[in-house]
Amino acid sequence: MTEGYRKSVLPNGIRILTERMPHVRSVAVGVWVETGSRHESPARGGVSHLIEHLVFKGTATRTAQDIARTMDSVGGQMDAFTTKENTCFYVQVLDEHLPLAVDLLTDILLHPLFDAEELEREKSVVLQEIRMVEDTPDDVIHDLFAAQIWGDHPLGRPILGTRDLVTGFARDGIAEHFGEEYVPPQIVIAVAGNVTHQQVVDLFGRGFNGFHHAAPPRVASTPRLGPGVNIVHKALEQVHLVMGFPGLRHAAPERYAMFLLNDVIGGSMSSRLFQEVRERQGLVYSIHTGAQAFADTGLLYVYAATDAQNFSKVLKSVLKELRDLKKSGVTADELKRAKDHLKGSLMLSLESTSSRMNRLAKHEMHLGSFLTMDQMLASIDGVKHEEVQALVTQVLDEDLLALTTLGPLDRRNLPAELR
Amino acid sequence: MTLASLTLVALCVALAGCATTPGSRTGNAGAATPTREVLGNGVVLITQEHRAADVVALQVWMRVGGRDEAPDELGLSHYLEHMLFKGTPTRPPGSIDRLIEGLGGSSNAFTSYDFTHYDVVVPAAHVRPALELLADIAVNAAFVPAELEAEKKVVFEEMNLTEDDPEKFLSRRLSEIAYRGHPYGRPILGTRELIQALGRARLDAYYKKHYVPQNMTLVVVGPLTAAQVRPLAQATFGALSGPAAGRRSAQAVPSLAGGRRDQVARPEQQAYLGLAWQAAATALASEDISAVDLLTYILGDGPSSRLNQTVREEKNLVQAIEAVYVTREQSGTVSITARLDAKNLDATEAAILEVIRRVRSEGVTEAERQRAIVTAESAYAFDIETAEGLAKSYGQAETTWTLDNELAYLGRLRQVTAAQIQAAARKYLAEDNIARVRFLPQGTR
Repeated sequence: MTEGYRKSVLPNGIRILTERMPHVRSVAVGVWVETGSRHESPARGGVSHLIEHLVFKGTATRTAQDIARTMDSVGGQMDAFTTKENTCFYVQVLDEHLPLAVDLLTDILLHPLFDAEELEREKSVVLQEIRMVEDTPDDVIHDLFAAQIWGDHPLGRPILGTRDLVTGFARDGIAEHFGEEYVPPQIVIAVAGNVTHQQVVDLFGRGFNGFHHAAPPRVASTPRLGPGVNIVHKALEQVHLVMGFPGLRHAAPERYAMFLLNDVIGGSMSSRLFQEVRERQGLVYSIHTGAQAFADTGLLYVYAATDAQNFSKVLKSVLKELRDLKKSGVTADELKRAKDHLKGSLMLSLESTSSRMNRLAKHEMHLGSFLTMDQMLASIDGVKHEEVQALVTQVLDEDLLALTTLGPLDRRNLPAELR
Repeated sequence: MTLASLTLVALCVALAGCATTPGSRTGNAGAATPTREVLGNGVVLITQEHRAADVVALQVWMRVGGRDEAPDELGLSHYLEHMLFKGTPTRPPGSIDRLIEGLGGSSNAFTSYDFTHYDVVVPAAHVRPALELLADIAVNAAFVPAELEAEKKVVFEEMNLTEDDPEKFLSRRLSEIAYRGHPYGRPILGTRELIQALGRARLDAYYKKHYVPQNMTLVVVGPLTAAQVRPLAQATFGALSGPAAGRRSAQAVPSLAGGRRDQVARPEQQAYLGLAWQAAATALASEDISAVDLLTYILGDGPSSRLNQTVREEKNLVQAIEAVYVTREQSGTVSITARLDAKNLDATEAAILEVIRRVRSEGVTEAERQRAIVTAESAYAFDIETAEGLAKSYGQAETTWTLDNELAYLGRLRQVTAAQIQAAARKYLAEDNIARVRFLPQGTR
């Protein structure tokens, strides 16, 4: 498949990336802002996420209802999400409705009202969302884990903020944060689907015409992952666990080796952990690993959920697999399979407009460039066995291991070395 | 692997969104309609050329599911779904996952009441080995005793998982209440006791009886023509043999007259409310399906739907509310679910019923009808952009409805009048046949 990738930069600094997909009828449009929970001051924890909600609640010319109905009327899907490092406002529509989608997205980013009544309402929505996360064990355990390993660093704070902070937010602080952070140099527009680059540049060029603002200053503080064990009690059917090691930042040159290592350990069904802990021993329904990356740090984590009585067995099996891997190394067969799996997954992920839109934006924000499918496939093929091996030694260091558990468990269920 | 058995979810859009009409603008570069043929041994083959990406979706749809289980066979359809990827005489445990992932593919499977579904997506170059694999596991699964035993614990964990997730548990509970006394009301995963006692002979007998060519539909969607797929399908699925399928027709669904209620204390901080009605099914009153679909969109899909506007925006009673329509062969289900504070339960239920009452007495507006049609069309266009999504809509239609119905669906949907939508509300959403489930945070009442 050919990849019709193109990039332009508007005079105000907004970057526009497009990928043409002539075989589909829809178009995915994402306006990304390089600001997230890690860029908030402690007193503003959760404000980015609240802003993500509020911009849909009214502009100078549209009520909240107008905004919702506009997308509904053309069958479009509109959504937004906030992460620790960025915020995305996203629309998927049939191609003929692209102008409407652009009009709406530029409006909510240029002219949000932050109306006082809507603010109070939306605060209560966010408070409910916080409760819902707390009620979803496999969500909240990741927040607990982040808080444990990063402590006071902004990366350790929950994206949604805390109840107290959210309750206390006032309009002025919110508008100020919005004015400083949601500015052209931090905006990346990504569009994939049945559109031309020129169409997109014209529409957004007009929509964001006259929007000028300098980038906010950024103070760098590199997070350090703190090891240790944190047992959180809760009356649940299952015990959930997250275990992690320090990993790699987004643009790390060894990142492909890391993806492969993750695949070998627990990132696929033929991985060591899935085959041993689920398939051979049948101790869990869910077990997987992930390589999580940020601008300046990253981690490799294991997630699993099991019965309290099986917990110790699961943990021991996981540790045993990691130690075996460290002792005997990754086999040539495993590495080949992981490469094939990763390459295939990449090809499979090319199908939808939204996944391509995501790829456009992430490459730009994380790497400052775009890699074609062929370049990515070649990078995966080019990873050497010794590079993966070096990562095994570097990453799987039990002195740096951090573990969080959530559920009906006490310390006696832990293996002796972690007690 | 094996996402398995969310009882209600997932089927909704497949039939709610449904189907392209021949000649409509689908955006597919290849043929706009699928080719359907029946192989000599009874396997139905559906193919469609689809060139949006260089990947192929291969799906096997089995005409067996939770409703085919005898009371002492509960959970076997789902258990089979887990065991099929475990191995055959020529494929040792672990090798199937390795093969699929080695091809750069992914696999998934899903068990419902009317069907079991296996789904593989691979880069187009690897169609042949993927088809060989699917045909092999369809009739040659080995059920190695050690593997069979180990998988029990996995299924128990899956049961726990459903219980800990309020939304999944609510939809399961609603099914149980709405279909008490019918297979649709039974747990797809089975019970702990039955699974604990499950032996190889029983599972194998169930497999041999139901996994026969006449119960199989193979769907292939990707950058391949029917002429390219046919010989591969013939050589693999066309070569399978087995006894005739003896599927019993599903039993009639008992009426919900008088309504039923259930209340559950839960660990969550938030309360949940679910209301469900029995509605048009693919085998019964299929002509009403389009009207019920539009009705459901108008009631509870998206921020401008009636329930969102009234119950959430105006009255501020709930945090989230939606209406979903799921169709099965013997009964469809319209369900309205909401997440809310426990103190608002009574007021919310009253507000929902008032919204229903008004639709029944006053009908819907032309603008609402238009919006619902646009929503259905867009949702469908989004769904079928991937080979997997398109294959799913065809496979499910062939298995639980008909492919022709599916292909005519969007055209029919556009013809539905506002009066027909109101008639559907009057026919199905009566106040005296509601299944109601409430989840209360522990400590409230």
